[in-house]
Amino acid sequence: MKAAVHGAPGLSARSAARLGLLVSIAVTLQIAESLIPRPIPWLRLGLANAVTLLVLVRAGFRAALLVTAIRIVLSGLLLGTFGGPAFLLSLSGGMAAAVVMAFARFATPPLSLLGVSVAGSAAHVLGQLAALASLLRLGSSVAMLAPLLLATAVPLGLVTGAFVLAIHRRVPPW
Amino acid sequence: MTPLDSPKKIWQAMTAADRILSATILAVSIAWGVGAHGSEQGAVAVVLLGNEECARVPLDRDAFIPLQGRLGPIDLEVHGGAIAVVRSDCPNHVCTAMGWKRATGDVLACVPNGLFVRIEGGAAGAQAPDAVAR
Amino acid sequence: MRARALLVAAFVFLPLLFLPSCARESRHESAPGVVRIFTRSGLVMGTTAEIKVAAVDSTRAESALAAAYAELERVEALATIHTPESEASRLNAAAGNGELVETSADLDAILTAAVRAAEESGGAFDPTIGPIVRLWGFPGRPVLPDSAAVRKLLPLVGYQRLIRAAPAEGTAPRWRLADRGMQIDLGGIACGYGIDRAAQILRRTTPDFLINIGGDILVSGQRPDAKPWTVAIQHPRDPSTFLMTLHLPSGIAISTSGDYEHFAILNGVRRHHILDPHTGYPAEHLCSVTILAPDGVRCDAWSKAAFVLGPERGLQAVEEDPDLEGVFVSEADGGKLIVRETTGIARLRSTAPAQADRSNG
Repeated sequence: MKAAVHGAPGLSARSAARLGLLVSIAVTLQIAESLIPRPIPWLRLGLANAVTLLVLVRAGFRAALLVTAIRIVLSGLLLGTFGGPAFLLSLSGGMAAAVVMAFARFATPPLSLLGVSVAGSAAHVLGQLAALASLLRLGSSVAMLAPLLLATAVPLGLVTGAFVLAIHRRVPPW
Repeated sequence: MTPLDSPKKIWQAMTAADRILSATILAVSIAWGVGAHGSEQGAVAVVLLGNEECARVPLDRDAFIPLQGRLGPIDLEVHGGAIAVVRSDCPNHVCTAMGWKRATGDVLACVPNGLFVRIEGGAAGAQAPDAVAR
Repeated sequence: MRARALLVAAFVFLPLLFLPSCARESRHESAPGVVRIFTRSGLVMGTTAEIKVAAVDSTRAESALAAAYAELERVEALATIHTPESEASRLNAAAGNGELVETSADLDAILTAAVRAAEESGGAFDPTIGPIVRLWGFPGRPVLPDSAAVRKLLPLVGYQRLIRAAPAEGTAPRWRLADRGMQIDLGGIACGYGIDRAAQILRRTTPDFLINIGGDILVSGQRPDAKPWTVAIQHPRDPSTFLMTLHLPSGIAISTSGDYEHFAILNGVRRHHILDPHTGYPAEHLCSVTILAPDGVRCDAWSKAAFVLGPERGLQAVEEDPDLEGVFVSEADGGKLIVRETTGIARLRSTAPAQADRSNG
């Protein structure tokens, strides 16, 4: 991965270091939240999506996608869940959140970072449910879990959005 | 850590679109959840393992239902018009903690085992056919 | 550029998504004695199908389901007239040239059952209706044919001229169509035969199953919760509701013929695909009829025959037959539905009230 980053022309060492730092923050967040007991195992709160959002607004979609993907894989490897159900859920949820947040930024009427974060949080939930239904073959039964999870996704999205907003305002542009 | 930490400040920092989006998602999920949940006594518990409907258990008589989930044996019990997961080998035992369910629309789930239980009401439960001649 | 970094990252990660260990098979052995329903859906006989099997062992259930579908496809292949190599097509090709065509035991059974149903119904069901069906353009895009064209083809319809030569010891049965231009169309009965054959195969594994081929159904045994299989009859005018729901005893086939499937509005009149072999035109007088019979092949043929016979003669014919039951739905002026049923239906009806309105006819 380091080779990929260094071998890319135009990506300065400073940017690479920054991305690396962000990835490690995201991984830390994801590992930390996996320690929180959840009513439904394998499901993630999506705190690490805050990093995805921050990278999205400051460095663009491609960078955000890269950071998210690396974060998910590294967390999976470090936690030992790589390839397993939790990994699949975080992959599908994390990617869905990244894509939805990228689109949400261009919504009209405009959404602030808070709204984008809520959208990402909801997409995170739906992406995980979709993975449960299809990849893990649980089928449409997972729909029964949707109301509760979506309802909690909104306050969670607002809180993570608030953190991102605060950091975004305080830290000078890259 | 930041001035945005209190709920009131968060609300003030939201744009109109933010509020509409959040309110809509909340409203939809609450309506969905409430709509599925009735307050009346359910008549039958539909038990699904993964995508397979494995049993339609009437709630009007006591029963003990041993099943095989993905992680191992998982047992349901029906007593006094309600159903609960009484034994499961899952890591968090959330399902057993969910307790006894009896109202239409209530659900029980043990995700690691692939078990879902949904309570259906009298009329709806009895009328769902196995096939439709057309 | 970041783009290249992303591209490399994608190449690294993409193969990981194909890790086979990720998705687990939903197959799992159950504790001894726990019976579950295994369902397989498929596309066969030109329609969607669903077969449910109540069994303990998932591997045996899956292999029984696969064998059942294979049998349905085999029957379809020999009975269809839409491929020239099928047995039915070969019989059609030899029409009128005096040649006796050897048939398999399966086609022999289908043709025998078809002729019997034609005899019993006085020709209301007739397997030699092929030329008229083709004239109308069913099952594709129906067109209103010229009445002269219909009159010209009517003489080619006549089950009495579908002739079986009794086979000598150890030889295959042989059939022929007497006149040039005659054509069999087994669409009204092949499905029922396929269902019976599939049922034979499933019975080797379990006595409890339900076969549903596009609404033609056969049940055996009961559900795992020891309740009888429940089948609802489609409401002929409101697809979101049922006309009634029946609890079926073991070994019953149920089939509905209606004017709401395969129809077209031609010249302002609904023309559907159940043609009266005597007139060459779609049978009127009924919206739908549902027949219950002890096997699929009789059920299938009689659902067409009863539809053509209509609410009075059809009801009488079905009532008189001790093996058959039926529900006849016709439309009165003003769109109100009149439902008539034979006497054996009442005790099969579920006690919960049907969702659709019924008026007693």
